[in-house]
Amino acid sequence: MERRSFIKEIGMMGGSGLLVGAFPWLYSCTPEAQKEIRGEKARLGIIGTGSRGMYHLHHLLTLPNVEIVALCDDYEPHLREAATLCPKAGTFPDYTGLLSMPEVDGVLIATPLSEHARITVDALKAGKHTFCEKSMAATLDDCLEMYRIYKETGKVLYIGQQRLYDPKYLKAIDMIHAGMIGDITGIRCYWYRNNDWRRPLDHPSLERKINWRLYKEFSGGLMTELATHQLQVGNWALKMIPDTVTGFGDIVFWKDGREVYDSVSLVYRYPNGINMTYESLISNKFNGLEEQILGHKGSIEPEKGKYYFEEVKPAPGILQLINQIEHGIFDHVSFAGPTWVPETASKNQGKNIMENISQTDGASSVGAAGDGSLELVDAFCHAVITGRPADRLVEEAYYSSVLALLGVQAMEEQRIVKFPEQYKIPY
Amino acid sequence: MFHGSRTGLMGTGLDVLMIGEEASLLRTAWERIVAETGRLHGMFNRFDPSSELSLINRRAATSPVSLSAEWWDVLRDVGQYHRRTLGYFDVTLRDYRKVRLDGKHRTVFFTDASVSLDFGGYAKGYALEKMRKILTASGIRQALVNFGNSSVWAMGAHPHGKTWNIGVVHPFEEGKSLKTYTLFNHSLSTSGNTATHTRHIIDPHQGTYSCGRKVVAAVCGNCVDAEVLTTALMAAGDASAGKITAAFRDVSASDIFNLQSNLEI
Repeated sequence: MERRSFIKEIGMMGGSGLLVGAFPWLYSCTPEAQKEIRGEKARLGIIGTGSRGMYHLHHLLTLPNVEIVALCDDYEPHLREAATLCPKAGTFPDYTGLLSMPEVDGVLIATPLSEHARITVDALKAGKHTFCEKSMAATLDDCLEMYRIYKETGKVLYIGQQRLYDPKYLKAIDMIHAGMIGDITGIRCYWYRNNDWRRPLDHPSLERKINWRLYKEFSGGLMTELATHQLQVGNWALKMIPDTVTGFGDIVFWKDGREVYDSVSLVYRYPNGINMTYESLISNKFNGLEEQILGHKGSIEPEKGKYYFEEVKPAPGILQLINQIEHGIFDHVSFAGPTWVPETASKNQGKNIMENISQTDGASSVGAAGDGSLELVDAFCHAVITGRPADRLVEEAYYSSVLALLGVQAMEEQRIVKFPEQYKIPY
Repeated sequence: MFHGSRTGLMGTGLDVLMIGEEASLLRTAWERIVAETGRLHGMFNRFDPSSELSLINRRAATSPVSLSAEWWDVLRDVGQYHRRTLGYFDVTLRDYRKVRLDGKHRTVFFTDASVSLDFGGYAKGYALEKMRKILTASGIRQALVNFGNSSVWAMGAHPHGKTWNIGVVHPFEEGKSLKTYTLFNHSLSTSGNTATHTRHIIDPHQGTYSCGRKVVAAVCGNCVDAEVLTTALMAAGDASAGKITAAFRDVSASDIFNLQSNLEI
């Protein structure tokens, strides 16, 4: 989606004022907010120019209000690749050098998970507005520390939860909160793909550096890299946080020396008894990815951009007839015809949440087009210029990151894990 | 007035509009209709392995299967309809002569293992007859029952008219109707192919599907008659239509619409 049309779309979804009331982090996408920064530029440094960093960089280069002034990566080929796109930017093998540049207003961090907390905390303390990829951090303490420093410094912090900027998710959550599918009674999240989740290596010695996602030292595996996006949707829909999680994980197919699970199944239990199930498997792609929000009147599949009603409305002919009778009118109605076959669970094609839905099959491990990522970095650039943090965005990201880590803990210890009180923040 | 609506019955939706003053009486009648239709849904469900029909379909080619009184009556009934429609109404969809009924022991036996019974063109009419009895027993005189659009029972008349006037929609041209029928204690049954739903009615003599752009409508005093007649006329060629229709009593109207549409599908 074009940037301008996203802003327009936001405007059309019931007025920007209303929408921003429900999703305050969208303020920077409103036409009024766009006026504030006309002609100004956010000067950014990018820390981590691997696949995800480059994905963001390509987006940033299409935006008017940003200038890339510095690049950092400790892997030289990646740094060089980014530098060819931004020849004027300073290049650093170490992020501390980049943070010391006074002309850097903000940084975008796309490093392995284990590095997130340290770099984010240092960047915020150095007075830089910060965008950090999701998940927030590799440990509960690091997540809390990031949140604490964010609050303490008053700087901008964005976490890469792009669903918060994806129009089909915004519309879906809006519909859910308006009661369209009735009471939420269950949530099913899953992400299935069939690939080894590896990046090609220039040399075998680079295995842990490039394929850091596969090693516990750097990553929480499927939970921190995929599940965080989806667990966030559950919290967002229910406006609450699960208090319990349990589940199982294992390496069932990709027995190639990796340490993180390639198959996970978990249950997150909310205080009102609602279960959110989470499944991910990367050796079968039949189911694709989705976060199904199930209500007593209907279901929403935001990833596909579809909603489904449990009960089909009565034939219009009958309603017409009732209307006639109530108004004392005698007329004919036409509804007779070959048997009407209702949409059943397997046949129910559903209805589109909105026009022009961009979908992804979830196979890419870098990023998909039209999933809100562009709008997210655009919003960050806006915030870097204005210095205004995005209301509630960090809280959403914090809880999805913490839930992913609690899920890892539950699987590794094979037990029921309660949400620890000391890691609760205002939500 | 009371309007009851349900989906998931016999693969379609049921709407019942009852005219009357006593709300509790109408509601009770609706509840009885739902219970009875639910029972018949189970009875005619050949996909439910625990239904009597499934048992018949599974076992009757191996040895004679004993029948309940209701199933005995239904199988005799469909046999008579098979003869009356020159074999075009056939619950085996192939050759009803392979179904043998033994009145002495009240059993059914299939002479061929490939025989399987399907009440697609019968069950909704049968259910409408049961609903008519419930409505009558409840003292209701005016009602309109729409079972999946294809099977309608119009009891008495519209509260502001002398009949119920129901049109058959054109399946290929939105907003157009083929014909409007005036109904008073009549059943209107419609069968046909639509743009999305083709090849569902088979000619038992040829083993071929009716796939032309054809819609058949019949108005009869009896709901099962209407249902069976449209199914047979849909499968039969237009040449046999007159002869088949003549074998039914109390047919107020029967029409075959051979449609040509501008729409390419």
